[in-house]
Amino acid sequence: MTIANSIFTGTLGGLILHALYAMLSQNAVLGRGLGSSRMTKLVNDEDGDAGVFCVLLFVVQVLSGALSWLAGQTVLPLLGAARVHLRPLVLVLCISVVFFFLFLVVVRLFPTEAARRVARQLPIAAFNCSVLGTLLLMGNQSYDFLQTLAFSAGSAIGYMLALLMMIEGNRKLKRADLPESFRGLPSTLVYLGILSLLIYAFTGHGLSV
Amino acid sequence: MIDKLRGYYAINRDVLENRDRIFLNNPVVMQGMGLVPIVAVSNTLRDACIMGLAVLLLLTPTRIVAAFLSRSTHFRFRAVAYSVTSALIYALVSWLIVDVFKLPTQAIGLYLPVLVLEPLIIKRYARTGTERMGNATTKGLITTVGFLLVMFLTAACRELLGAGTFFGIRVFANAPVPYLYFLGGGFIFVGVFIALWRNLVQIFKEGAKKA
Repeated sequence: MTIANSIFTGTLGGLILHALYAMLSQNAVLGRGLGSSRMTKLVNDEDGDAGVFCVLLFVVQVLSGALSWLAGQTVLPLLGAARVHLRPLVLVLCISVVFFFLFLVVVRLFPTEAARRVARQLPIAAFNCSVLGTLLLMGNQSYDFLQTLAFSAGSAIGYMLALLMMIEGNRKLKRADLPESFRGLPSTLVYLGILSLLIYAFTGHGLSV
Repeated sequence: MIDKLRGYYAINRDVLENRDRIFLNNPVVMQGMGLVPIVAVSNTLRDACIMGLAVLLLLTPTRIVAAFLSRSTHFRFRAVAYSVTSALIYALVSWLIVDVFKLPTQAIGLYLPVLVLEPLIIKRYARTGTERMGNATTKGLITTVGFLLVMFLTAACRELLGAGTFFGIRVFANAPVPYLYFLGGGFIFVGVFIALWRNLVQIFKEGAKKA
């Protein structure tokens, strides 16, 4: 009990709570619908590259989160009133820097075939509504550097968990006796909707009928 | 009328299946693009109008400028060209919507800037061949129309059933299906809507085959 108390009242505890907050109640896909177009594609992906996508998404999200925090401290204040309109551009530039860095790392470190596979997933993971949406959310919350990292990591893990649930659900839906027009995207969306309502109820909301 | 359309489809099948982005190859219904603005924002017609204006001003110009820039960009880095172009044009669109037209964007929140990386706007980068400017203009405009059609239809139904209002005017004393107003309800509604649309396309195609 004492150890648990010290964890949840200290800095580490705060960071874990930020990560959990991003993972569950602020889940990018199930709580806000961010990256849902990409997820419906990944769920029906026959190549099995969803794992590579998840790892890349995590790295891109954390690194661009760190860069966007720096940009928020240095570049954005210089833009004055125009920063409302230019913020997405600054954040996209942060993501682009991470994209180029990871591209170089992948080309240098991985053997040719694996590098090709990773490089194919890299733009899909980097230029994603979920990544940009999380960066915008963190900017609105005025987090410090460590909180930014924790929230970024939590958001990426939340996306992964949602994707895992969707892949498993989709596997079962494929075996189910569904009408032809409901197969694929429509059944995936209905399942996503049920999970999203579940998260909504889980965070203490209810319907005012 | 439907028979005439079926006859026209039977004659021009290849061209229509390649170019139509409104009914047969609607980007939302067939490819699942543009789901974020439709599911997360379009629960009222007022918000759908603001989002629709943003897409109208952003999609085609981004596609044209990015098609031009992509000519001298390596295929691997084309995603950067499309994303940065989209973000640059978004700055202008945001200025027009917020400062010039003074439209209320509070309800849309972060979903307006998130449009910058929406697959509907930047997905073309994934295709290997470069796009001609004329083609980019035509396809950009048709894709916009197809997207707006689905967005307004879903927004009208969700507002009516989820909130009991139509463009803010009360129609039902109580909302008939209140959960449609929320994100989860939006996903479910759009899933059913897409299934019905695909069914209609299938019926139309089978009718054209018989004709």
